[in-house]
Amino acid sequence: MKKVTTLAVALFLAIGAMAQGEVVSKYFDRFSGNEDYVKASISSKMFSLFTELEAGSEEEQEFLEAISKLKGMKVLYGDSVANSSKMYKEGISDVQKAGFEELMTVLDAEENFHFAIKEKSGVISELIMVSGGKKGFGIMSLYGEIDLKNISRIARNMNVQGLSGLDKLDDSEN
Amino acid sequence: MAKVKSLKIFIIIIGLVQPLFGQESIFKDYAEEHNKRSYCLYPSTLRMINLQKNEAFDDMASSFEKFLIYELDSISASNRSFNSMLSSYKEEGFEEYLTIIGAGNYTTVLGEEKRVNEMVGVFGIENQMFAFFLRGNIAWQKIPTLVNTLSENDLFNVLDMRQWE
Repeated sequence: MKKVTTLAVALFLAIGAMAQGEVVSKYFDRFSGNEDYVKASISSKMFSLFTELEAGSEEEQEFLEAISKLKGMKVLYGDSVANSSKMYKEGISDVQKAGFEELMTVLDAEENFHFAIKEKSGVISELIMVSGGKKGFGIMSLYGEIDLKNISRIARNMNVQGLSGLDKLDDSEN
Repeated sequence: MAKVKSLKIFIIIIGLVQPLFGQESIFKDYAEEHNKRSYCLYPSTLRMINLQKNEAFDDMASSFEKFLIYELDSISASNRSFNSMLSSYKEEGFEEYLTIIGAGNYTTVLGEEKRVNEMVGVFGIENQMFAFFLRGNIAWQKIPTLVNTLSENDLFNVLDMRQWE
């Protein structure tokens, strides 16, 4: 009986881990041969290598602490998308269908942002950002153990196209 | 009896060494058939390109055992035949560390650190495509110091052929 319970728990955890980043993975598959979109994926292994770095300043130390609990990141971004507005709405709908809870929406003349999270017992396990502008569309997922206070720090230091919208989370706290 | 014992030890050593060559050979078999230029960098060669004798770079260089870089030919770069080589590494237990694909970018890095510390991958710079294989205990903690201390003229860029012409 104990073995069965252990197996069930292990399977449940494995399925949970596989599900992380799944919404963005669907977009990766959909646009796999489309060169107009940049698709970036960073695994937990890469994040674990970052954590071995020695911080030279307080800001670097804060950045390393911020990424130490992340398990992965997936970003899809295109800056010349014909139907960006439709894609943005579709992205939000997919995120909602996947059971994410809306965190914040920023409507801007240039670009709109929608943030949603998956949270359990007060711990955020995944953050999704959907962005859509006049021509651009992006969807990004960060998963692991996420502290919202540190998200904008990660965005500033990683310099990855499509992450700039994460600064909006910082603006909302000020 | 002593001969049998020596033979056993020899077989065990060969058995232990075999996987190391096995991992590298997948890369070499592919890259040697599809390259325009190849570079094999050892700690001593890396120290040689360090023109200004940057100490952090020398420390970093001594942490790797071998660093192979091949510039791939244009056919392999366009048909992305290197994906089959990367798939073979995944079958050997290498995990995906990083992938950036699209809008002119193509970078994939796979790594294996359980048996031996190795990394293999491909990356593009402008119109050139490179495949690399790296073995050694990379001193990741030294990278920030290295980045902060390296200035533009510290290193000779072996990948930029325009410097050679």
